[in-house]
Amino acid sequence: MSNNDSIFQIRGLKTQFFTSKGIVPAVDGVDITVKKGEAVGLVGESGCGKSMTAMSTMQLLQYPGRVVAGEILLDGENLLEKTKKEMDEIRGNRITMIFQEPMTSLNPVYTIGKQVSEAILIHENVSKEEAKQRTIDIFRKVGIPEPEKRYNVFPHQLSGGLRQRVMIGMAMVCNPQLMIADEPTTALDVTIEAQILYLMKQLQKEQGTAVVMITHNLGVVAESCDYVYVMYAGKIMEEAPVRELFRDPKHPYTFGLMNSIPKMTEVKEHLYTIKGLVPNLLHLPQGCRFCPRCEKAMKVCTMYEPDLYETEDGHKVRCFLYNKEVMNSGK
Amino acid sequence: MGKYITKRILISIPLMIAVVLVVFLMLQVLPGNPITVMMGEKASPAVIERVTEQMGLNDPVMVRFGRYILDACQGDLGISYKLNRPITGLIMEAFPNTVKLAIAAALVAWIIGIPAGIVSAIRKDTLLDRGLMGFSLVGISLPVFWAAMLMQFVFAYKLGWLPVAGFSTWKHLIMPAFVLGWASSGTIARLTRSSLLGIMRNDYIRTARAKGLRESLVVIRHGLKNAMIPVVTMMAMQFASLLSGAVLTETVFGIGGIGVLMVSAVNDRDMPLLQGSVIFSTMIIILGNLVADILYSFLDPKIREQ
Repeated sequence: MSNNDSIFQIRGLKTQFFTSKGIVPAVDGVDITVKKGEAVGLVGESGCGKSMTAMSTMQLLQYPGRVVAGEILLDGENLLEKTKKEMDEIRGNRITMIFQEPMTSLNPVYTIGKQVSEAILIHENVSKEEAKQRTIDIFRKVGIPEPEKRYNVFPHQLSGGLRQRVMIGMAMVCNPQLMIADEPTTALDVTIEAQILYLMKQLQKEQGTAVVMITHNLGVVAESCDYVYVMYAGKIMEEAPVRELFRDPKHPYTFGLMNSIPKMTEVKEHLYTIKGLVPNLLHLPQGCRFCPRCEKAMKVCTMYEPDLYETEDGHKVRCFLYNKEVMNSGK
Repeated sequence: MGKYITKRILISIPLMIAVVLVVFLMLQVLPGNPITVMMGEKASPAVIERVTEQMGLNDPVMVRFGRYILDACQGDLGISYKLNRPITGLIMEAFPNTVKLAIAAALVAWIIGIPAGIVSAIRKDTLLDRGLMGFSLVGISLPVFWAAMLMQFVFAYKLGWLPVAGFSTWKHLIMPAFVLGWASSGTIARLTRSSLLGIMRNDYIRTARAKGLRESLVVIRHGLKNAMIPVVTMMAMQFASLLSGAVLTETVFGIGGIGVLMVSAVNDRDMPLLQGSVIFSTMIIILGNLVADILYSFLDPKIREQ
């Protein structure tokens, strides 16, 4: 997958938390590739390591978390080899991030205009007036009504949807190469969610920014992404172009996720649920980590960990069901 | 914001009147006739009776209170029995000394306390943090008179660097300012530390980091301004309490401030002077709280809007 048109690549990323109870492998060998201008979804349940993948990329992991192995390549440069100062220059400029909680992600004591123009002033050598003008322009672009007036408004005077627009403006104002959106619409109303997703897609197209969309919501992925990675307990379980994944989910976990979405066209007594619980990362099961919850588990699954196997129609699936040798040997 | 400030000022006025009333009534119930104190034990009952009548002390309490408060509003707090001089004049003589000491002590407290709190928060759980917090805890816990005497012993008596007591040059100010400032700096350092630690866990700090802001600027620009809201309140209140007189420190170092004035009023059973100086101190505290509330509104836009 080392295409030349890839702007962002994560290779074999391992992030661990060194707690008093033991080492927690929050991200356990993840590979992700994002092409220029592409939107990639990273889907999984809470605690599967999606956000930790993002925080590792930004190098904003808090103690006791640490990246222990792997490469994070932005335009061919390994971010893990950068100094603190070099990362400060990349963060907020070439890679930006939007967070889940628009209500608390803005500083209550500064005006929103000041907070966005600060991002410009950190990274670019422009005058304050120019930064202000650009902030007003980006406010207009992200659909904040009366941007000149709103420049001097404090966060608590805005609704959640508008605050998230401010966050998106802040993330887009320096024309980043990559924007990571960590559950950007989870805290918003459904109607606002649709508007925000539409806005992100529009900006992504206009500015050619690549997007990594982190979410637990498959609907968001279907609406906004080109390619999807499904993550479970720190590992990628399946990856495919978004249409492919929805047309034909291969991994039993992806299949379970899809089936647990209610459909208007079917009448069911009970909604499908994946049985069992997400495993404790301190005590991962032997073999495949999804095996204890898997309806199609075989003997081999409890003994060995599967690799990512490529299928004919472009999926990559971490499941022995798609390994011909295993399936033919009849284990 | 103007509305908020006006509201705060208007609230302080009834508070001030209430304080004067309470102090006035408290001293009414104290036993002993003030005229005896003023005239001495040997005065004849007839003279005492005449003077009491002359001074209007036979009038009902509320009449006397009304008279007192009207005079007080015009800056007249009455006449000291013992010193036979206007109390306002006595307070105005003592107050500059207290002001000098308060400013010096507050500067010591802020210059030590705020940076110590910030460093402790950033280097949380390190030896430096423990050391600074230990130092501030000692400052809070040590009785000021004991710390004062210890310093007098070391710096004035043993080393001879500073004068033991008195109040004429800036050198006289060093020890009392440090003794008072140390105690206040401890409170400020601990409050700054805990406030900043709480603030640094907020989502907007993560946003500031994600913006690419240097860690030092994240702390100063985004952390500190929020963290200072409770600290500024504390600073203003401490300063007000320093201005209202540091009884122990002034006594140990022989500084003729409000604190010493109050102590001598108690010793002399000089009720008008005690009443006047207690009311004056309380007014300072109320004003200090008012200033704290107004400063608060400058830091927190949510309050400003009200």
